[in-house]
Amino acid sequence: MTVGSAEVRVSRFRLGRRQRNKLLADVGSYIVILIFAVIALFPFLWMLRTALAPEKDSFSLRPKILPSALTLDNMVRVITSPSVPFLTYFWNSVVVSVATTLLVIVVGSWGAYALARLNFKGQRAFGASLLLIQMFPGVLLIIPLYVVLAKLGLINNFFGLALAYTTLNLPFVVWLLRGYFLSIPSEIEDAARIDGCTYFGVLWRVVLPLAAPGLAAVATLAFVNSWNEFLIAYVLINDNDQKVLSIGLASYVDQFTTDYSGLFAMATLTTLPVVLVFMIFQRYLVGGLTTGSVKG
Amino acid sequence: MSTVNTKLQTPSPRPAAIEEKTPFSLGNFVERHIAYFLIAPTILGIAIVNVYPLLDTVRLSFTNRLLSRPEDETKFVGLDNYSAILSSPGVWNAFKVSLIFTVASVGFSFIIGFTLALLLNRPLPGRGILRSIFIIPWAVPAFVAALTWSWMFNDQFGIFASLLKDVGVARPPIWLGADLALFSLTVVMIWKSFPFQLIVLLAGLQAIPGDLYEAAEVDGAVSYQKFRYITLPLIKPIAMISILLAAINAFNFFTIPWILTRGGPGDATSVLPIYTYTIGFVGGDFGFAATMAVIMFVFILIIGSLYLWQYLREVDASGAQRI
Repeated sequence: MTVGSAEVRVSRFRLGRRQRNKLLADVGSYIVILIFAVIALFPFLWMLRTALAPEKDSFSLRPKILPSALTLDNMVRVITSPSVPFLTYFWNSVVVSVATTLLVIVVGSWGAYALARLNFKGQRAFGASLLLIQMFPGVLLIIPLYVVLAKLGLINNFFGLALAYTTLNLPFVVWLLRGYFLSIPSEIEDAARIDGCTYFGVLWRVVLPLAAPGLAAVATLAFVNSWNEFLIAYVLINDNDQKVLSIGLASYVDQFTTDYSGLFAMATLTTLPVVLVFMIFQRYLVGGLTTGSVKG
Repeated sequence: MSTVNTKLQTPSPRPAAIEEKTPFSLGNFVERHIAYFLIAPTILGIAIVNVYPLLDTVRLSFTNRLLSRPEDETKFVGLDNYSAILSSPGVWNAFKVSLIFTVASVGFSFIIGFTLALLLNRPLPGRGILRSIFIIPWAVPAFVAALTWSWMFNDQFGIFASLLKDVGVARPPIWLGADLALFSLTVVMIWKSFPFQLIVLLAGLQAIPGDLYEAAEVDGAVSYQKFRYITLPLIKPIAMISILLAAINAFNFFTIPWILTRGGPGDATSVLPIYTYTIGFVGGDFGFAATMAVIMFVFILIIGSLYLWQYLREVDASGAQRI
């Protein structure tokens, strides 16, 4: 009896210590995580704060963390300003990014299906060259890309930009979707083939619906990559009416060097759509990245 | 014996008969060569946007092409550009700056990303919200990030200078001045790139089967042992790949250094992409810029291949699954 209760007491004591250790570890983790969360968020919040504070705050020699007031004046000003075609930049970015995303999904899923399911001569070479292309420096491509797209009449042209963005996204997308397709059991496809379905039919009606989370991941990445791209647009687009947001904002800095309120109002309007897309699709993004990379 | 021979020589009549009877149709042709139809658009795009420019850059690197000099007056100059690179101090400086920038930003973003991934891999309340917060630097466009940081670094109106004055620093440092510019640029790059490491490594950690840890606990393993003998070996393949991708990205990165410093002051932050771009599009020397681009590519290719080779050797040796 006494021996038994002593044992119970000892095990209770141990349990208590373990719980206390776990609590300490949790608190410690939270402190480290919160410090980095503040660092991660601060520039984003500072952009919002500059955009939403009155213009005079941007000229304060001793800026404070909190704004003197909150206002939408800066947003309204850049949207309605006759000298800065912000809405044109925005619309151009929407067109280029949506076109790129659609092209990437169609073309990328074709390439990935061939790589995952079919046997053809040069399959390994095709797969390997996609990996190799990932290593190309952007500056390696831009000089000749400018020359070849000029020959095709695709300078200052959305189609040229969407073509370049699509191709730059393809290697990664094909590999990611290939992994995704490999994770789908092939019996369903075989059954559809036996029933007389063509390969395109199998792809559209069987494979793509099953790979929807992978497609969501790929679409998110393609959209965000296009929206955020700078160098190629910088070289390929000179015409002010054809500019996308990235180079539109950069040229705004050169033109109106001191209008920080206006600049960050535009930056906020540029950033919110991609951050929203990321937040909404992050579940698929993480799932897609892992399935795509773990398989095969 | 002879019967076997005749049997072998007589072709089976059935497949040939079917082939002849089937009339040619486009649908049939496409079905039979479906793989090539599926990869054709990818190949075409890559040919225009990647392969042709690569070959043309190699060709340009052997010429004296200038932005202002038409193609037909351009001459073949052999290895002149390559020998000029060896004796150019700007190139060596750009290499040095690029290596410091790449190694420091990848190293620190990996350490931060891995630490946070380990912490977030525990069942903490609010994990989903925290993950969303950490994804923000990745989602923010690089040009917006560069503009925002340069605004925070501003020595007149910047928030960093103001906060330092609040705590009694009379003369806050000039963040984008000659002494600190490379440091500041690297900080921005670490901020921008640690979320990718965090997300990839967190996904890798979550893929490790929980029963491995349970079995280790039954055998009396302590936390350090579980980390050393389960977590580390299983996360290593994913960690190595995510480090390689981050390094290639940092080495080729243009947007943030261009908007933040344009390579300055002087050549303090003149990383290779900035140096090459400036030579080509500001200085107008396409031939020399093309040579720089080729050398960058060969450099990445060699380092990347050695790294991948080492990776495959280790993964094969450990018997783990390749990714």
